[in-house]
Amino acid sequence: MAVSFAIQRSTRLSRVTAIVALLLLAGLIAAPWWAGRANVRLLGEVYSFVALATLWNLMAGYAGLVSVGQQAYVGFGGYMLFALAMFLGIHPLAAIAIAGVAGAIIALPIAPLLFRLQGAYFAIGTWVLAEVFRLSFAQVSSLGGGSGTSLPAAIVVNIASDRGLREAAIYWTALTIAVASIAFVVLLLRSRMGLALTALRDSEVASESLGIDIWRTKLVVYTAVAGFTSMTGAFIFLQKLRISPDAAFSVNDWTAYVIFIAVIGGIGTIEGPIIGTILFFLLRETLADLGTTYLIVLGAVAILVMLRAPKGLWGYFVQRTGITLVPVRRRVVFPE
Amino acid sequence: MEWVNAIVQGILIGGLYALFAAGLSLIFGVMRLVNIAHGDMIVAAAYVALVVVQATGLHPLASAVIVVPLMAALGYAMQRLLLNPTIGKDLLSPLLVTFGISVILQNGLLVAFTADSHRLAAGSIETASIQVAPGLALGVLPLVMFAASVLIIFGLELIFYRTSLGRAFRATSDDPEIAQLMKLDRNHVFGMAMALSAAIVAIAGIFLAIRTNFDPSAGPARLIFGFEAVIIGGLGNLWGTLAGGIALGVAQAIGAQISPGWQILAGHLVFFLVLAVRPRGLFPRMD
Amino acid sequence: MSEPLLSIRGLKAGYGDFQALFGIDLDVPAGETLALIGANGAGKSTLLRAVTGLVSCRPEMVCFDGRAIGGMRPDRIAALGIGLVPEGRRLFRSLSVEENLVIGGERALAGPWSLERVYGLFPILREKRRNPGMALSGGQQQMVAIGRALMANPRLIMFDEISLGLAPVVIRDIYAALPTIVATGVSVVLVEQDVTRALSVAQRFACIQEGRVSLAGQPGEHDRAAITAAYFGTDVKSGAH
Repeated sequence: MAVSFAIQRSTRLSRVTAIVALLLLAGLIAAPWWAGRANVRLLGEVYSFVALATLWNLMAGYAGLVSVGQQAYVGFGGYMLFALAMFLGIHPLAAIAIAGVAGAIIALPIAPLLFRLQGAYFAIGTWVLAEVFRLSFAQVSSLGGGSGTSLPAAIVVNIASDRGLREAAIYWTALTIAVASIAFVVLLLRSRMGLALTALRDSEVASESLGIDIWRTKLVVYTAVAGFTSMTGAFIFLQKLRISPDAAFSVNDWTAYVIFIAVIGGIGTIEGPIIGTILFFLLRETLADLGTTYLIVLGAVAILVMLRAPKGLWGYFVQRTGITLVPVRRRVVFPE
Repeated sequence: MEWVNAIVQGILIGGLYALFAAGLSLIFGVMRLVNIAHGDMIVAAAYVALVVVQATGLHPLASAVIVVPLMAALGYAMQRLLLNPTIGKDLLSPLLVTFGISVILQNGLLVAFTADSHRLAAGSIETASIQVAPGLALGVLPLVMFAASVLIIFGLELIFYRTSLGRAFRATSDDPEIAQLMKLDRNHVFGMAMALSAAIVAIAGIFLAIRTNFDPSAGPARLIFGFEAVIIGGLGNLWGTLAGGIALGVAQAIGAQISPGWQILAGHLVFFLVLAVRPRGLFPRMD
Repeated sequence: MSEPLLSIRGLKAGYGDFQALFGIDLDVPAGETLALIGANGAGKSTLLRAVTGLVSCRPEMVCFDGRAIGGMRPDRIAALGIGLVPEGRRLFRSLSVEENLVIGGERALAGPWSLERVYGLFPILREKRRNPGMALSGGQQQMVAIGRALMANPRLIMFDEISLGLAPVVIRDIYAALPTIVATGVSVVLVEQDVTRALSVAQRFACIQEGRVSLAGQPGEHDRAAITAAYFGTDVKSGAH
């Protein structure tokens, strides 16, 4: 007897999600008209963390590449923006895109070196790389050396002469980067390579015997993430207007927070990093004392989550309800 | 002579790097875990030594009597309570837990001791030196520390290859499932490995505190130096790790001679160079 | 009959969603040898893993010396005197031959086995005692694995696929050692592909098929055809053919 079945990915809920997401996106695009200036700025920051957490999650949660050195590319992107704008006179928004490409290009020869590190040692290797970048940029005196530099006002004005329009343009850039990062991850996971990644996560040995080129898959993920992360970094420092080696390559700001966001939200899910970021900013805005204490609290919560609900809040929710909003896996459906 | 002097100093500090590396390597060898909090534990041990010295008036080196068992006990507890529940499932969970511990330790020290840097005064031994050649003097303290580091690595090697605890470590690393049938409680074996690692961390912390200024943010660099020594020397080979530590120390000393900004960078570049040309390290284990 | 040393009642066990055993009942009296036969994937290894605690089950499903041990930690179960010679030997690769034996003897029960006795049983191991365990031939590795289990002076020793992958001459050597082992009074569970050989050394046998005991008894009790049927799962009790 032949069994009839169909392969499905979307669910009714996921289609509803898509519509709601589009409406939400439309609302967010219009934010410069309805939100105050401080809030628009805050949203830009939120988007940068959504992008960073989503990208980190692709590496750690799907490709088995646990990095504690993504600040390498955040800082690299930031410095590229400053260098391109200051030395070559490139429009800052174009410089963000070029910084992304540059980040991917520089990651290409670095990846094979880091991949030589066994298992968890890869993580520390990424950190060393970030330190190399930090120490190297500290040597570049035309970018302010160890103390850093500010983006000249003339360049800032160059983005758009009207202040409101300028801030809106920067805001839309951030939104674009965040949406593009999420779209990239979703599309990648739905592609052939996404299937390979899932197989890889389940068993590296088995997937190798299935003819999946693990090394190449990891290389693609690592370089693409480096590119998007550099772009995000370029945006972050365009918004800050000031860069220094310590700020650009800060492990706390660009990796610790990002990891905690992904862990608490849910590693290995699309929704997790987004939810984690929202939670992160809600907590941050309510806890008056920033910095030290906040990091301790976040670290403790992240450890607790790893111990009690390793799939994070979203994973826990999915486990309880069976709901996923952005399905990336295919399901076999048998007609009644 | 300036160069010879720099290289000799590099060799001597290499012993300390090997000490940073030994505890890291031990944990990786036994449970395939990279303890990201390793450097912060070293700095925490330095602060514990500081408190002990201030409270008891003991000589910093003598404070080991208290700091070592205390750190070992804390290490054991940390392993059993926080790490064991996550070990064995995947690579990610235990790694991220140690990352969390690292951030908490670092910022906890910042709250408790501020960002001011400290140093442990070791008294007259600090300035004592031996004139080996005209223009080349070796500090007694760096020599003592180097010798102690070599002895500790030798002792670790003995524990690993000559005792039942070492057999338990190796068996658990080889085949954790069958090791249990040898009446070995995995959780306890892992706890003992972390306790031993933390004991070495304690010594490393005391040495660090005597040699240099330290502050709560000094941990990650120690983790990285230890890690680089492990990779340069070759995985699973303690004497290789000592050689790796010395290579790193010499690279940094040479870098510092070129320009102060190049000291740490030179070490990192040697690390990447070794990774590029000899990915299994200078002295890979034969198997 | 006195209380059996190992008593298994209604044992159900498996891995995650996959159930391998569906209610096994078995007894191993003290000092006897039980041959466990059955096709590949029948559940024999899972049964041994459940007894050693490597697969969890409810406490009362496995009783050893009158004590419910199902689901106890493997190291605790081993300490009670249950030894396993695992399928594929699984020696510790970074330990020498002698270290593999010595680690088996840590916290051993009182009993006849010592390093000297094991070397007496398998003299070749004394010659090779400084070699890494993995450097030995398959048969010699099996000797180390057996010695490692004996060193604990177990009250029950279980051999999983004792002769799998070994040359016939080596299998003979291993079987030649069995009587010496049994003579010490230890109970034995023997998993073996070669049914004839297994039945020749056992007082009892049990045939496992698809996670259930399809036939059990003493080797003389059942004819060859009945055992074959129980092994491969063809129905003989109905007498339909």
